[in-house]
Amino acid sequence: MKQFIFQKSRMKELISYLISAYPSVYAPVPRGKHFVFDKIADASNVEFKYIRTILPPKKYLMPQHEALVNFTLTENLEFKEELVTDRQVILGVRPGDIRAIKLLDDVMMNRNKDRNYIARRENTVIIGIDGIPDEYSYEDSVMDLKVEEGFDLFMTDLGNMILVDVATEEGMKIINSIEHEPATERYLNLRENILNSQREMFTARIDIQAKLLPLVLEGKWNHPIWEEMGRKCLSCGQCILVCPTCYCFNVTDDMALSMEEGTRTRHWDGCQLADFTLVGHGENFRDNAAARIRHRFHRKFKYHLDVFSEIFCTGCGRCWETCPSEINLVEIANALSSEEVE
Amino acid sequence: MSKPRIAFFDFASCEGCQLEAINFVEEFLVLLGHVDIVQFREAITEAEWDIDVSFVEGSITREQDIPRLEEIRENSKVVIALGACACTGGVNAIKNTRPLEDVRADVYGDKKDWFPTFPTRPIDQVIKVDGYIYGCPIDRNDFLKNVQLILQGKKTLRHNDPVCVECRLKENECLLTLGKPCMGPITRGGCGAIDPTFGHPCTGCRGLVDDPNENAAMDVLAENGLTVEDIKSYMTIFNAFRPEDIQ
Repeated sequence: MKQFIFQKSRMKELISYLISAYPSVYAPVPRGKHFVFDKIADASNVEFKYIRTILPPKKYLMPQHEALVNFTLTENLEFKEELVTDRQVILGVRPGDIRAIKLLDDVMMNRNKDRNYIARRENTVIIGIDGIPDEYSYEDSVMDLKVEEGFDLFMTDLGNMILVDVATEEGMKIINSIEHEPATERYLNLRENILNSQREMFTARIDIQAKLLPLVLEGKWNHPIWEEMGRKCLSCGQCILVCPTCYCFNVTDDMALSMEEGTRTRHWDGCQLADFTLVGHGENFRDNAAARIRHRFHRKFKYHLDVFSEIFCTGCGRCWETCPSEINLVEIANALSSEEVE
Repeated sequence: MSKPRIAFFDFASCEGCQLEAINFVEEFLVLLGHVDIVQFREAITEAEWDIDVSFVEGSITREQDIPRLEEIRENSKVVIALGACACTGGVNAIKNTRPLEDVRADVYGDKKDWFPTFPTRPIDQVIKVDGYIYGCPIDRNDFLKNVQLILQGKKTLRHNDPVCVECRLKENECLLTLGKPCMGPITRGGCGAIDPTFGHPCTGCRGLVDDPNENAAMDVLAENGLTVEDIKSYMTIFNAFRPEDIQ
């Protein structure tokens, strides 16, 4: 990995280059009091000083509704696979979301070979940027804020200057579009100081090492915290829809009005919705919110650790901020682990 | 093969759902290629029986509605409840929250005895219903999707995922996070979250999901500044009907 610095005033130039060189550039822009990743036509709307976006940048690798196959009901049933291979840049991705994309890669490219995900992922350039937490953030409890992989470029805001880690050849090509110079020791130290001060800003914390949670969960299947949270949960599904590491989906076949052709589409879906586990004959094997919340917590802090050796939570705080009942995984983790201490 | 014969009927309603069904002319004409409409007071003058699919709009509020609804049932292979009034009782069921005599006096004054009514009920409290197309009014895309399913002999869409799902996938700002009361979390989806998309809180027109956590929803609404009275009236705009009202 190489490090360079460039003047922050050159950022507009960099963005203009990206827009001229790639069919689609996505970046954080304001939406009311919140932020979203959206396609940008110029640098004017881009806001790097955001905390989190409503949906994670995952939506450009696995869209909310994604056409998989178009079919025609002729004598011979005809299928046409939909693979998107346009080049795209996701600009301004936070460390937690970079890590989340790495985890999705493990699931969708390595352990399973999802053709649509792979087609989009291989055509995606990721440019990260550092940022500060708010009261819902707990990245520091589940990951290292200093991400070392999963991006082409990673930018750290040093004030007037931007320090940039270049991880790929394509990243180098992008940086070559603007004036830059090698980062000296002084700037690298400055970055360490910034990272350390960011680590101290977190107010929400998981009290124990998150990687120990699988041990904490042993014998907690009937812990009262699940029922307590179940009573508050509306089962609205917002938490799993905004999660950067959730990847569950449903697939529907929808006919055009002509009834002669149709599309097979996949839609984001997830375990906190009541119908997710509804199967034939009306059986629902997680038919109450307490069981669903328990499942979600195990997915984030146990099941995936067993398979991928990784915590499937980045501490981004999206689920917490959006939950109408303010249910959050930090509170659950601390309730479960506090008894360990006693 | 002859085309399926479909019909539209209405009871206590504004007839807005039928209007919505014929309002999108282009798609409606394509739909007409697949079906024959044999009864539709709002669009045609002919009236024939022997119906494959009946769409029934409106709630049941009077004694004389019952034999007419039963006649529709007897003459239809499939009966679909069309819109909030037929599916859940809709706004008409608000009257169930007050003594019937008071409501009748409010509306008809000293002529109240001329117009006997009984507590409002959705049509499935009177006859067997095979499917539901929710909403006040129905959503045209949802209507078309459901009609396609019905014509394929399938069930109508359950829409047990709440409004929040479509709202979140559209990346709207959550109105509850902005301190506005919204029924989205416990209301059936399928409308494309049309109200929150335009900044209006959901009022629950599509009915509540199968297993709504009403207590938690009331807590959330209270946190967003509604009084207990407000919450009660808010939650009964479209969802006042309770089966015990008509026992």
